[in-house]
Amino acid sequence: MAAVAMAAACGRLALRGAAARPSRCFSFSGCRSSRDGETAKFQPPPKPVIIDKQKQKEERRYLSPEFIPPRGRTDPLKFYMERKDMIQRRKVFNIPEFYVGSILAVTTADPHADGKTKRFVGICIQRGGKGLGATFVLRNVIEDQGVEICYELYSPRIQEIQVLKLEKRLDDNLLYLRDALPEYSTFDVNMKPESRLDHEEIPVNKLQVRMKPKPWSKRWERPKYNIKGIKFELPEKKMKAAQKWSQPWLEFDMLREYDTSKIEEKIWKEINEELK
Amino acid sequence: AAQSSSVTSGCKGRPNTTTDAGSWQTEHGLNSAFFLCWKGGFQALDGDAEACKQKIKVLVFLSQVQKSNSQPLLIITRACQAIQKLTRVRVVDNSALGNTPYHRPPKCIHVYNKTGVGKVGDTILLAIKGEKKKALIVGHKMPGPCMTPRFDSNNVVLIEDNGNPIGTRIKTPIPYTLRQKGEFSKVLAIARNFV
Repeated sequence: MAAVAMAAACGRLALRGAAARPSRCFSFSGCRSSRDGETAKFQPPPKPVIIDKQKQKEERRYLSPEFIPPRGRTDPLKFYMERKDMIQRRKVFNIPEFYVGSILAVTTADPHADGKTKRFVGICIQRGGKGLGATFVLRNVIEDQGVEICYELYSPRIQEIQVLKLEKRLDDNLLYLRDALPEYSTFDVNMKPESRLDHEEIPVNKLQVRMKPKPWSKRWERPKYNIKGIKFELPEKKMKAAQKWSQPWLEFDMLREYDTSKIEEKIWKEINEELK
Repeated sequence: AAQSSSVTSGCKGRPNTTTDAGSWQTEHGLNSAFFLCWKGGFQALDGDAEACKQKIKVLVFLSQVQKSNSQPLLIITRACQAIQKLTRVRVVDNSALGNTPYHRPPKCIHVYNKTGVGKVGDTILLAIKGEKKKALIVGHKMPGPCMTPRFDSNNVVLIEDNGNPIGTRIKTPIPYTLRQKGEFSKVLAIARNFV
């Protein structure tokens, strides 16, 4: 570990040219020999590097979904430039990893608020947008009134994003919480952040939500929305009638395929280098 | 038999589409008749050619009737989701007028705005319990600009003509953006929660 640190330090100094050093000393031994020359001092053996095998195995890669460019014919240069700006912002401000279904507390700057900052706690129901315009919507029920606020991840007005509870849900977006019983959207404003270990897998909350009586804002029972997190208490006849709108050919449509695995690999390498 | 099969295959392959009644006779063949018939939904066809032909005859009659009216069957206009005339609102303060039950919900009858659409901070005229009262919009279901809250109901605070609120307490959360316009300081003074 010490050897790696020294080599890194040598490399950085060489690049910046801060002090008069022999150029291109990348290796530890190389630095030493150029300085000391004939009298070789006693070099203690390098300290053993402890490799935590468990940590190595479960090194989770998390790439925020707004980095993945949408499918289209735009010049990839545009996405590259946006990614550069996003990385710049992430260096200054920490945007934590979170998913739809995790509970966040966001502090933003507001000229009209008391103390110029306002804090909102809520469950993330939707993550939209790509690039710098990426947004997420937080929902909470305050005094029997459902409130949703859409925040832009890279907005300079956001001062802090704190993840109070990191978890996933069965669906990609939880817009059906608007038609669910309010108890599923109420979260304590003074909730304490939950601590979790780094290498643990993110828990998936398999909660099945109970809904208010129909009519709903959208017909969530239809297969188009493909929602697994609702406990439908509708009669069998209605559930069957909803299946009429299923489009089973969609999953085989080759023109809609968008394989992002290679793109993700490239972008992950790019980002990791910058943000280390 | 060949005709019927072509017709059935045409129907099963296409999802819901609507065609206007006027053009189908001249441009399209038999196939489009079925699209008209199944405007709202998508049903499997029975392979009976005779039944199909009878259905087409009915459709021809209907379309001719339609042509004479020159009006569409269904008029679906999507209203803008902020507050405008005849929207039912929810009175959020503890005034007697807003909280006593009545057989009709309070409705907006005028918006004091150049456009007829009221957003947060606009004054509107409400019809409550058979009387007219001015009110201030404190939240609506329509999503606004980023960082502003979106409420699950259209909230309104009853107000006098000079801007004084009638109630004495507002429990529901109020957006901070109301502080921008200085004329609502009295309403903000009685508000308890801010978002």
